[in-house]
Amino acid sequence: MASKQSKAGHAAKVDPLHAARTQGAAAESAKSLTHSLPFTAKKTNVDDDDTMLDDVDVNGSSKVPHKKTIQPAEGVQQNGVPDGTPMMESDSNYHADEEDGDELDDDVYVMHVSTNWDGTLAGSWWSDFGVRLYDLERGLTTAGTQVMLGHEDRVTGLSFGDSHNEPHAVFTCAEDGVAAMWDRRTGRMEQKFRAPLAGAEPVPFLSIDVGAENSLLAAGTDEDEESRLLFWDRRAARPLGSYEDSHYEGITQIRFNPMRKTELATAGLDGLVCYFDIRQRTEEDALVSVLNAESPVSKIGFFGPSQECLYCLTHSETLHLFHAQKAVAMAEFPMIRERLAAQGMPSDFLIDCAYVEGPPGSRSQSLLLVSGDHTGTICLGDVTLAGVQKLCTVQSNLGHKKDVRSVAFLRPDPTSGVPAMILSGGEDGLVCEWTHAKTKRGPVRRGGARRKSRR
Amino acid sequence: MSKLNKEVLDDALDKIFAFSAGEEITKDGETLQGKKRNFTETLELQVTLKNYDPRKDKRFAGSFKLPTVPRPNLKVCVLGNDVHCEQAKDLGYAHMSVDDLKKLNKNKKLVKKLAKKYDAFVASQALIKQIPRLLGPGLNRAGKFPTVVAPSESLEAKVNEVKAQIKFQMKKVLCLSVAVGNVDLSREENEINLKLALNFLASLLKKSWQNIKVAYLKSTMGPAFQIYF
Repeated sequence: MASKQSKAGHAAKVDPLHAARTQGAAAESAKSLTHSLPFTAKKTNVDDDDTMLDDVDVNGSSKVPHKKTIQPAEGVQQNGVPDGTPMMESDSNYHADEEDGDELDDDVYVMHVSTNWDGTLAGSWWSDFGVRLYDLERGLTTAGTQVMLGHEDRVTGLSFGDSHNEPHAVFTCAEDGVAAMWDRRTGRMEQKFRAPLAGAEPVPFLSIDVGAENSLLAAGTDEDEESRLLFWDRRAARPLGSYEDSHYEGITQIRFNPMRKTELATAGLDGLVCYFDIRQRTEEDALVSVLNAESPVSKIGFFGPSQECLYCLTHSETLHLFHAQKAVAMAEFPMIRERLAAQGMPSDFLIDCAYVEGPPGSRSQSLLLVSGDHTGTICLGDVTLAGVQKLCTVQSNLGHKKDVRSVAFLRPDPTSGVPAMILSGGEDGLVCEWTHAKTKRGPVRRGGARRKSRR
Repeated sequence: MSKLNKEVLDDALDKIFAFSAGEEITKDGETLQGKKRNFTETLELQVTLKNYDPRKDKRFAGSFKLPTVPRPNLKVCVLGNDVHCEQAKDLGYAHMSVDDLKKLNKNKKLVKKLAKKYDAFVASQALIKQIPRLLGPGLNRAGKFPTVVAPSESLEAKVNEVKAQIKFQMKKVLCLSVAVGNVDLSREENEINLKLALNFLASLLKKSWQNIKVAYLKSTMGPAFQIYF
């Protein structure tokens, strides 16, 4: 059972600049900064914030400050972070942050977090070109963190592949023109893939995914008016070919269908979402359907009982729901930020969607929309074809203070049915883990907690 | 809501209209002789951002539908079912039926030619699914994959919507420009388009208007006027 004690949230900071500045405060508060915040993926299981805010669990054993073993990226390494600098987040740090204000603008952002298939491993990429992995069984701790440096430009994609036989493989791609397989045991890039026929300039990648038991690697390039989707036989490190006509501008997303493994969805800055059956020999035959979101696409993902649908978020902050094979737009939410705001959801921008399983007794699965505001609050909404209904706000004094850029949901505990935990990463350089609280109170009080954050 | 100074904007619009009508205007103390052009000049909004890092801040790109069509001469082709083809004929739009598309026989050159001939496409819901089968990825390649028009939607409204859509995308430089109107529209229509476009851009930015460094308004051939400082 995910009690507050055993599954308290952790906030870990791995920003050396910041850590250096706040070292004193952090060192003093050697106790842990755990907090757990309630969230619920189900309307049927509503919890309250306030109890949680008082509930700063001191469970120091599981939280160790980040130290030198977690190397900062090259760009910031020169800042003289002493060995063993505690980089934990603490309450006192937070107040300092607030006073510093714009000074933090140069800080490193967490750009993305996601988890592997069984929720034991989380990966993040940061604006310092570094990739950081977290062993979730050990929590967001130094011991459980692995920093992987090697990309020389902005990292743009991360995949854990789909093979349970290769638990050590992690795949990333970046704008330095490298798509890489890392081995967690060595912490190094073991394989590098570059776009064929690349000239003197590296061809930047914007997206990556790996399917067919880690044997097929797909990466999308960012080339004006001629972006390509490239395929490699991953094991033989051999290029297999490319789809060159389906996207006009950069391919921002690639997703293998988790259930039909020979099918693949891509999306790009041209506003198109393409769905392919890659068993076919030619691109023409492989292209099953094309859906037009009419605005550059930022995120896509599969959902539905048999993963037959796609959600799609655009940079114009719109949400689209498509039926992938039928090529039908099921629902469109063009002015969704305004509609969310009317329900009291913080909605400066949309972060992502997630298809999650709920506790027993509720609807078994549902599509969640995560929105955020510029103060670090995030909010979950339940998406149906008719609209989005607010579920709860995820916010804490110990949580994010700036835009949350990415969230990942962990699978629920099958015995307790407690909904998934959330991981979030934001522009304040924090990765936070949020746990579900088991207190039961009305959702009304949650508003109070939110107001507190806006003071 | 808009942070534009009314006087500055009024002055800019006055002078842009006067210049494109061939009148003499003064800008920064200089006298400029305007010239009436043989085409409809487009009104273009140019924006430069500040405190924005394209390396790590969210990508600044998107599309937006203006209330009035800024470029009425865009050529839109309707790929329609029988009903929509019929309507397109009545409205005087270019249109093609499934059979017309089948005649292209997936020939890449013909598809390319088709894509070149028009600025945008709209297609009936029933057809959109067949487009990849009928035409291959040729329209994707050209960046002109059709917009869907559902059976319940008005074809005319959809075509205008497609025409009224502006797209913007910022790459490595912190500047972008979008068409927001033209000199044949009324002053009010231009003003509304401009304000909505700027408000929308600001709404996508972390610090809203504080991320906008400068904004200029200009007609195709005329001088640029600064409207936001």
